[in-house]
Amino acid sequence: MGFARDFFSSDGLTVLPRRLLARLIAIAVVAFAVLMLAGPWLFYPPVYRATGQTLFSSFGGDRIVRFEPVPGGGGLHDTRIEIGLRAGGRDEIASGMPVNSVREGYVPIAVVVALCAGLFFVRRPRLSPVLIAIAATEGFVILRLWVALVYGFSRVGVGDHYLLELSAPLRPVVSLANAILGTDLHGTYVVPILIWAMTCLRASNLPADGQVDPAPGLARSESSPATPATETPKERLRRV
Amino acid sequence: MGRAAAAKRGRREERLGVGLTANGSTDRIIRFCAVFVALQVATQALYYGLFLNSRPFQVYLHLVAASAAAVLRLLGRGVTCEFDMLHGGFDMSIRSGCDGLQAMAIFASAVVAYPASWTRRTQGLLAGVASLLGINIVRIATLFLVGAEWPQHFESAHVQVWPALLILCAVLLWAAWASRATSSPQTA
Repeated sequence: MGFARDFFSSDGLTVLPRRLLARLIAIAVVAFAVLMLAGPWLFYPPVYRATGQTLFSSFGGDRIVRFEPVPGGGGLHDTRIEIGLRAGGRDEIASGMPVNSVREGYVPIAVVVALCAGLFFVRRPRLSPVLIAIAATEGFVILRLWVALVYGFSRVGVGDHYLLELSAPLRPVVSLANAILGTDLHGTYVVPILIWAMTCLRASNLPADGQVDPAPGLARSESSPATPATETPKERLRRV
Repeated sequence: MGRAAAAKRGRREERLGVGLTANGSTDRIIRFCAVFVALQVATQALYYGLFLNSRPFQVYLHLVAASAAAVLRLLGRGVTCEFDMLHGGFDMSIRSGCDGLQAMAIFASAVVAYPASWTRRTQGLLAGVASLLGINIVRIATLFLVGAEWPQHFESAHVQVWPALLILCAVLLWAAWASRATSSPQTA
């Protein structure tokens, strides 16, 4: 049966046997649960607000953005993003969007960290793709925030002008991007999984057998037999 | 897929300079992700652009609500369904985002993007979408029970726990299907 029984095979997509995949998913689920039970709503919202304020305090022209805590907290939304204009030395807030910072920022990072932890326990990945995955996920969090701000500025008006005037063809694009990235909950989970797959899971980012010892607790025979000296890279990929 | 076809595809990709990993093998994960993302963007555009405010969507929401109410009645709860609302000690409305359609779209995109035969893909789509439909009805029923019995936990169950579980179910269903599709002689 050989590689045909492996979930991860060169004829399929991936590079881990089925049993290791099950272990990876189980460890990732436990790691994610631990990260969520660590109480992120206690420590993460201030981090989110400080980062957002640093990156987006000015949004071009006189546009301003403020990240404020929701009074009372503890509810669904812990942060209020206020947008407005600076006019005559005064900040005038035109509108505000309530945000659940844990869901928007912490959960995607927790997903990718949990998957990397799962991968570490079944087959040690190289460090650089793991760091790239975490950085790319942070980039996704910043991107969705930027899209939400562009959408917000383009929907709020002062007088007969919007705070951000978008061209007619761009308006539905921004609206759709905001719906997919900002409103939809599933992107919070799916995008980090994709980023992890493209960085950590790529065959080229997993050490070939013989280069790195398997993860602690894994019997060598479970992973694969020793690599023959004459094996080509493609044959090695098939067998992994 | 035959060796000749695989070799031909490999030569074409080599000529195009795409889809190759450092060790020279076709990088199917990148290709899978690219097709998956394209399908996701297309399905999301259809969902938000066309389907969301349409009559079929309203009918679908009503069917989901009625199914969840039937499950709750089986559990001995006196629940009534009024369009997309559930009543009975707790009132709950089923709206966009709570419909399970995006989890199904994620699963369907992953199945279509995976290199398997169309027979296997069709079987996977039917079984997976039906399973996710059932899981979503269970999700709505449990959310109703949480809202009725432990209202302080409703938001976390609604926003934190169930979305993660639904995505996990979609990923596990896809992994189970892909595992069968890969080991099957019908694999493309």
